[in-house]
Amino acid sequence: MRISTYFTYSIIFLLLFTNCIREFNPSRLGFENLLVVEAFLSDIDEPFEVRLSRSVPIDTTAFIPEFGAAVSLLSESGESFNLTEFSSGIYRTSSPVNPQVGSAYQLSIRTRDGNQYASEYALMRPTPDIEEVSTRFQEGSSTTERGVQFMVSTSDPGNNTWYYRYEYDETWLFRTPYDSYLIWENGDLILRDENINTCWKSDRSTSIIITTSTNLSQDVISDFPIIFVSTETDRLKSRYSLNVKQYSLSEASYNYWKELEKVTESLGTLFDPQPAIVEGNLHNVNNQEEVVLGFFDASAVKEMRIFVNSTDFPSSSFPNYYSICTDTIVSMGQIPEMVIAGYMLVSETITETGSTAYVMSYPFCIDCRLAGTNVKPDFWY
Amino acid sequence: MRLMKFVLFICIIITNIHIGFAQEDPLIVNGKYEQTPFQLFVQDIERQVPVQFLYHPQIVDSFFVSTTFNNEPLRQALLKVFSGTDVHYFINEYNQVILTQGYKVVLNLPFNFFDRSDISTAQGSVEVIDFLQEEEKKSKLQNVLENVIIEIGTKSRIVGGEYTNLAGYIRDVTTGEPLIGALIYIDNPRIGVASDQYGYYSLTIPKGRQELLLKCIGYKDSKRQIILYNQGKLDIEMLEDIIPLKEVIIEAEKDINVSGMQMGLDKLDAQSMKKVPPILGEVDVLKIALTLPGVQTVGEGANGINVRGGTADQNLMLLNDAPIFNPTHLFGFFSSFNPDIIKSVELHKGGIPAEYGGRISSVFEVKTKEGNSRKFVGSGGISPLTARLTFEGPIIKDKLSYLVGGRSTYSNWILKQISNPSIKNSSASFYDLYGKVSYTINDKNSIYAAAYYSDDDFKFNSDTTYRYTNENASLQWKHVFGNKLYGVFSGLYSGYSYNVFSLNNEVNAFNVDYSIKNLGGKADFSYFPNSSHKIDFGFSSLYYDLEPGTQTPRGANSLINPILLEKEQGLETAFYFGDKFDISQRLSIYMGLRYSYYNYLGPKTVNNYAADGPVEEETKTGQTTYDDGEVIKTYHGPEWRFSAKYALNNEHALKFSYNKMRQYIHMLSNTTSISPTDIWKLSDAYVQPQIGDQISLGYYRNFKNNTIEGSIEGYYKNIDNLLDFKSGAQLILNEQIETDIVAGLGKSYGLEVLLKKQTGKLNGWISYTYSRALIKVESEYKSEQINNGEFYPASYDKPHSLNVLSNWKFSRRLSLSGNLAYSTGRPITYPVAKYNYFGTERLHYSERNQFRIPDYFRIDLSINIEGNHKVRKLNHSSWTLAVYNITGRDNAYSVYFVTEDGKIKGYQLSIFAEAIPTITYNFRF
Repeated sequence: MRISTYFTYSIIFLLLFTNCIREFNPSRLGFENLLVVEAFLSDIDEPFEVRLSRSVPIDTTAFIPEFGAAVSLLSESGESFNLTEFSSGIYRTSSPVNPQVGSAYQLSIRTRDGNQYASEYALMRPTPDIEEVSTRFQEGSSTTERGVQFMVSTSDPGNNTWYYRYEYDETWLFRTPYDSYLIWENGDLILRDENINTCWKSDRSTSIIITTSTNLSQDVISDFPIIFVSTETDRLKSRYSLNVKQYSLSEASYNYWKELEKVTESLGTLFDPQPAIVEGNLHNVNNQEEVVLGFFDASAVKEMRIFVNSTDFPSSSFPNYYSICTDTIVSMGQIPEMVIAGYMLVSETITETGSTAYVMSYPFCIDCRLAGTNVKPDFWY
Repeated sequence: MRLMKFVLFICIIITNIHIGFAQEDPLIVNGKYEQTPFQLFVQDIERQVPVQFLYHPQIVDSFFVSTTFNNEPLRQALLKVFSGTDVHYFINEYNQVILTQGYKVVLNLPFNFFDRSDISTAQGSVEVIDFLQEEEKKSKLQNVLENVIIEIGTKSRIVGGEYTNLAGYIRDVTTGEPLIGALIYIDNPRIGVASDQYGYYSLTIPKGRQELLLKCIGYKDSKRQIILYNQGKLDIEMLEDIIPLKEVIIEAEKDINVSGMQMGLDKLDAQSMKKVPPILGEVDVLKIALTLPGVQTVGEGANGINVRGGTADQNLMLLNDAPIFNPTHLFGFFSSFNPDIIKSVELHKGGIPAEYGGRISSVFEVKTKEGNSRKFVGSGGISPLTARLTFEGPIIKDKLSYLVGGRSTYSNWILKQISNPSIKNSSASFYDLYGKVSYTINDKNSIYAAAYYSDDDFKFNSDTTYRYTNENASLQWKHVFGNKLYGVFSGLYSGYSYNVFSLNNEVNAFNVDYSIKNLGGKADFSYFPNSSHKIDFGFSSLYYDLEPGTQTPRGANSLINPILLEKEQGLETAFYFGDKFDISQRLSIYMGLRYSYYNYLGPKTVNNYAADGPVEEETKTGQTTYDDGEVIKTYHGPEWRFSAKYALNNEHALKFSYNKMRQYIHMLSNTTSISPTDIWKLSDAYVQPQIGDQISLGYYRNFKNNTIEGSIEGYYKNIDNLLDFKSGAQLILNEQIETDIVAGLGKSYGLEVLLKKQTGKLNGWISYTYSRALIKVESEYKSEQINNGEFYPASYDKPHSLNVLSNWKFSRRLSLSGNLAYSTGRPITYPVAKYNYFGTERLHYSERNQFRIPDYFRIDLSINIEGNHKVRKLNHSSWTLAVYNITGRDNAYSVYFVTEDGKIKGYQLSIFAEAIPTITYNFRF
């Protein structure tokens, strides 16, 4: 509810003034080689993982892992967990840490060049349950897309949480236009026993989703927008599932994410904030001036998954990614050369003249595994 | 007015005159009269000597003559008769005795009859001659006025070299409106003044025969012949140059560039503003100001201007002497000032006189028109986005007049016509209203009352609604104490407030309000002790009343926490004194001092912080509560003002100025350009006043008989306690705002070159500015530092800037105007590293403003087509066809990076990426 964020909407109005946004290829003007620490301690039953890397110039696509470091997690009460390098730059504990709510943890890193880094203590905070993930259908317009807005509601009756961060992963079912039951294998026709017509595809949040209830008299989050799924994609075409993860944040970590959002996601308005260093809570023990990127934080996680079907909403037209798909009817003898040409078998058919023929099409139009997975996720029903 | 009657009288006389022959012999009269009716007296004299009396019978209606002549010359005799009356006479070369009432006059003297010694010996007797010539001329009123000799003051012996004072008003002959900045002067010795904002002038010149020369922007040059006996009054009316298209873009007082004292001053008048290609169909004073040297902005459509490296809140924007807090509509696309009500705009960038204070970078003073005191007129304009209408006229002719003007946009109406539901539910509209009443009670007293109101509303897709308003009112009484002293007493009010609310989500439905009010009074006196001094002095008191923010829930289900920030109050009192002193014809100096005294007042609860540490939440030690009216903190200090001019000759001058300014109110904004929800904050226990020091040095040169003006001006400015903010500072509804504020140091310097051609078919100006604006935020605490405590360029630091504005008049009805603007791209903060953080690419920024966006370049063109040129036509109209950014260059407003789908993308944002054509219809009736 911070007023300034609403100014991003001003850009919508300015479109009326024929303003123009053009992509621009960034060039390198300077470079700072900094340590990047990705570390988040949660209560899920998995080993604690820390990823270390180096920042890169903005015009490159390289990823430089920081390998060979010694990483450990220390609790306030004196426990110590050592992390071992699982693969280059990725460090894990051998077993889940099972952090205690109310305990504080510190991350300690010694890089291979001998620099010693430490985080501030992060308190393992509880997270209230998500009360509801709700939906609202939005009619389209020239400036807004048609689709479904997913929102989350929660509250902390103890009024202790106040700052929230969300992540989501979404999964949707899709089908290819041709359901193939034949395989051409070693010159033989065999029946396909695997369904490659129905698949699932998943995506996850990449943007920062945070909110706070500090503006309210009670620790309540009501219908906070998490993701808008447009009918410009095919995600809502049949069945769609959204899993929302809720974390609680400290005020400091909220401010960290807020700043990170400000400088990397909300620029481009008439009233842009001045980008600045986003200060984390990790420091070089011997050199306070050194900037370390990242914020070590700890929180319990709560999840809620919902499913929606296209029939839950007013009917919409969805893009057909398979509109280019056509099939070709061939005789048995033509199959090998068609296979060499990249075609796949769909089914057997009878031609007008009464002979047996075979329907063939491109793999893209048959094999959904090229775009997703045909392994039904555990949670799917 | 009296002058008009007088002129009519002259005309009557002239048309009744018979032609006779000149009589060189002295005319001697004798006679004894006792209560003799004037008519009989005339008959007697006409019998004795060959003269003919011409007069209006009214003059001598109840005039009886009681006197004795004993071989007295006629002149002396008549003098006796009329002494102690307001009847005057003159004798022309045809021995006609013409009587006048109220004024003593002489038509132009062809021979050098009148030197000063003659006046003393001749006891002020005068001659009328050459009326034939006058008849031939079929003179217009002005010609008559320019050639008649007006006697001023009671007659007395004129001792050579003695100075006396002449004062009065300079007005427009048609509308009766006072003319600001009209130059009135004599050539030898060269003494002159410009009329002030009330059209008042006070001139101290040698007694005797003088030719007063008059120049004023948009008016025909004029002159008056006077004989100045003693201190007196002369109101002068000037005729507008009614060949409209002949006007130049800026016709400044032709040689004031060199002869005047001022530096760092730009003047714009309504006439010249009309010649600048409009943007979105509107003539915009703020946009025109951007073409002047030393004036920058963050970007197209950005709110606010930056003058000589100052921030946008350091400009004192005055409308009728009262400050305007938000000078723009629609986020900065339109200025708040309706062009139809503007008479002139003055921008002081340096050498700021002592009467101004409160902001450290500039004074942007908008003077509004006064209602036409002679007849009802209206004017207006229609463009695709806005419409405006102004009416003015007399309530009591020549005494009481009014002006009302309004302007509105119908963009809202256009939005509503769009069937798209989202746009239909968006809205953006504004309007402003202005009214002024001017009352001339008598020669010594005038009263002016003016009020202004502006309102902006906008809403995006039914979500959050914003509204902001400016209010401004002033009541001024001008009293003339005497020829040499007058005073203006003003009561001023101005306010700014905004309101934001959202009802979309019941639980979060909120309402946020902010307001600032200024209530002030001041008294300004101008004193003209003699010809070489002009003294201004006065005092002012300004009360600030701020509601720094309230947040309230909207609706029963809203859980929004009510927040009510405590009121802030302050009182700024100042007195000033300034003396413009002409030491010699070449050297003039201005010395001024303004002393301002500021109190931050209770009731208020003030947070205390540990003395030896940064002001941070962690170092807070407690609170102190202050009672109503209790002084929490006091700041005060002298603000010195000094300027000097040394004229090398008539065409070259060197000028120097220094000024110190103090500012007790600050805008809190952590965006690169001002947003409507930025707030103003008073100096308090932690926020120190901003202090600006500026020195400037200039060389002024006029070419080609003052038709081309040139100047080179360099300046250096230092700003203390410039406000900046820690990263992530929350400025709105922050109860501990002092913990987010850091004080910086501003430094700016530059060189401004201006070349202006004022007359001719092709006119306009070229300005080039080299300037730098740098900021340093240094602290012993790292959290309070920016750029490691080193200087970095301000967001409006654009080292090279070139503006060419020209107007080419093809014919009286058709003119073409062009505007070219070039500037270095503004600095932006650029990322220095990229990294992957939990699967998403992020950027790291460190050094502020180390990169520049591409250079800015734009050309605008406009064609102005006037209706026909009959002056007496009922309805005057003109069409303006303008194309903004005719080359369609997509000038970058910003270059920025955002993370989209986990990847960094770079973008360039342009506001007007295409040529924008507009058509405006302007009318006057």
